Parts: sequence; structure tokens; C-alpha cells
Amino acid sequence: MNVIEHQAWVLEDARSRTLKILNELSQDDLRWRACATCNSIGSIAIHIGRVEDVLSLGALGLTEQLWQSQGWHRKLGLAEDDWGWGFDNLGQSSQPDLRELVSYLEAVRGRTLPALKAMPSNRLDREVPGRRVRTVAQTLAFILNEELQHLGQIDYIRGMKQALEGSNADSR
Amino acid sequence: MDFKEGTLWSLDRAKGFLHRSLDGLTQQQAAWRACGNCNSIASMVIHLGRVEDTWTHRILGGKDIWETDGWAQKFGLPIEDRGWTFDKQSAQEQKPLSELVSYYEATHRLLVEFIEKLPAERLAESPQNPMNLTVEQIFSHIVIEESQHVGQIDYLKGMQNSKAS
Repeated sequence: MNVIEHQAWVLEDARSRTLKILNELSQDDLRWRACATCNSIGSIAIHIGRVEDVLSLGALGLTEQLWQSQGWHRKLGLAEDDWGWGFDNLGQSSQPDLRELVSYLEAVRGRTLPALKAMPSNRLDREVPGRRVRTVAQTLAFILNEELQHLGQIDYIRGMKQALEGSNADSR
Repeated sequence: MDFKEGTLWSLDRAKGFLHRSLDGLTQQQAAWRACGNCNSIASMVIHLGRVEDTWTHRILGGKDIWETDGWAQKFGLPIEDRGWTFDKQSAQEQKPLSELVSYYEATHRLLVEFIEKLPAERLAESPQNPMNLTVEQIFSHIVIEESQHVGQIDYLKGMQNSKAS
């Protein structure tokens, strides 16, 4: 397995874990917040897509964010410059449903993976212009690490909600 | 950047993120549980060390430093523990967060040195392990597991800060 094949493998592995959890959730799970200012699973999931959508541009030589070019911000009812967190400020009836949110993640990944697999390996050490200096390889690792950290959070929030609901039911 | 460099970069980033999340935490915050059976930050710090220690020794052979360097004994935890028993200890039994981090630091140094010295041709080997992973996949598995728990620790810190304000 060369470096690019390996990177594609770990990205797919992480995404399969994310989708497995998301596909088991209800709409109520998606919007639940552990505290008044805590991020919901819905906002975190959109954020995962936004990070990949934006950072893959410089890393993979792409030109447009799908968020804007395919109108995902409109479909999800969020601002053009939103990073996912606006989800928690939407009224319950305005919040996009889980399928729409998963479709955004799939659209972004559907572009990232083929571009990654087609990329020559000598591009990995090239610097990506942006807010922080990172090489293409580091940017790809950053996208992966972001998804994994947020995936951990999604998993924890889901478990916490289930545990709290279970203890509430027990005390009734 | 080759595979080993990428792994080391990701591990270093996870470690840096962990330290930023732990910075300024009190012992009470580290031991706090968001629900009756939710894992505390402290238990996850031990678990991170246990993950690195166990997987490193699955490749290297030999026993975990958890046992050989007496960490289990120092923390008053069972040899077979993966970190989660910490939350069952009383506040008096629980060791300070700084000591728990020392165990993680020790396993992290061991893992990093091991990766640095490992010849690239060994990455495809399949040492005996319950998940049938190659060495390369084991390193990725450690990054996957570590990044997820570091994200959880950061969330729990934010949650407590939010409740306090």
C-alpha cells in the first residue's frame, strides 16, 4: 500500500465509522445538546463535511466548495460562510433532516476520494497556501484527524444521551 | 512525507491537542463524569496510554510497561485494566492527573522511538494481534483511537466550562 492508497483507506475507514453512527440516530438525537452552548451531533456532522470541503480545495487542487457551488448551504438552511455551528441556532422545524446532512457528507467525499486517488504522490510534499502553512500530506492528515476527533465526540454524545435518558426513565 | 512521517505527525498533533485540552484542568474536572456511567477525562488519559502501550508491545513483544514499570500498581489499578476502572475508585484512591499523564508520556515516547527506528519493510508484517492488523494498520488504528478520545476530552472540558460560566 503506498501513502496515497493508505490515506484513502484510513479516510474511508473513518467515514464508515461516522456513517454507521449517524445512520443509527433519530432526528432528536441529531439536535440534542448536552448543555446550552454545547454542540449538537448535527452541527458536528456538518462541520466534518465543511472541513473536508474547504481544506481539500488547496490540498487536491480543486476550485470550488460544494457547499456553495452545489447549494448545500441553502439545502441545509445555513449561511454561505457557516462551518456547521449555525445548525444549533436554527429552529427545530428549520433544521435539515439526517438524510440531507448525510448527503452533504457523501457529496464531499464523492469528490475527495477520486481526486486523492488520482493525485501523483510527488504532490504530497507540496505546500498548500492558506491560513497556516501545511503540506498536502499534512492537510490530508488534518482532515482525517478532524473527522476522527469529531467522530469521537459524536459517539460520546450519543452514549451520554442514551445514558441520561435511561437514568431518567429508571427514576420515573 | 512517507507513511511513518505521516503517522508521527498525526500522533504529535494528537498529543499537542491533548495537552491543550488538559491545560488548566483541576483534578475535580478531570475526574468529573457527565453521566452515571460516562467516562471521565482522567480515565481516557489512562486509556490513551494503555492503547499505545499494548499495541506497541504486540509488535515489539514483551509485557506492557503498565506492568513492568509498575504503573498499574502506582495507580492502584488491575493489570488487565484499560483505564476505565479509574472511575470506580474513590476520590482518595484516584491519582493526580499529572501522574496519569506521565504514564501516557512514557508510552508515547516508547511508541515514537519505535516508529522512528522501524525499517519501512516491516510495515507490512502481521504480528499476532486480535484484529489481524498489519504493523501499518496498527499505527493507523492507534491514530484513529487516540484522535477520537482526544476529541472527547476536549468536548468534556468545553462542557464543564460551559456549565461553570
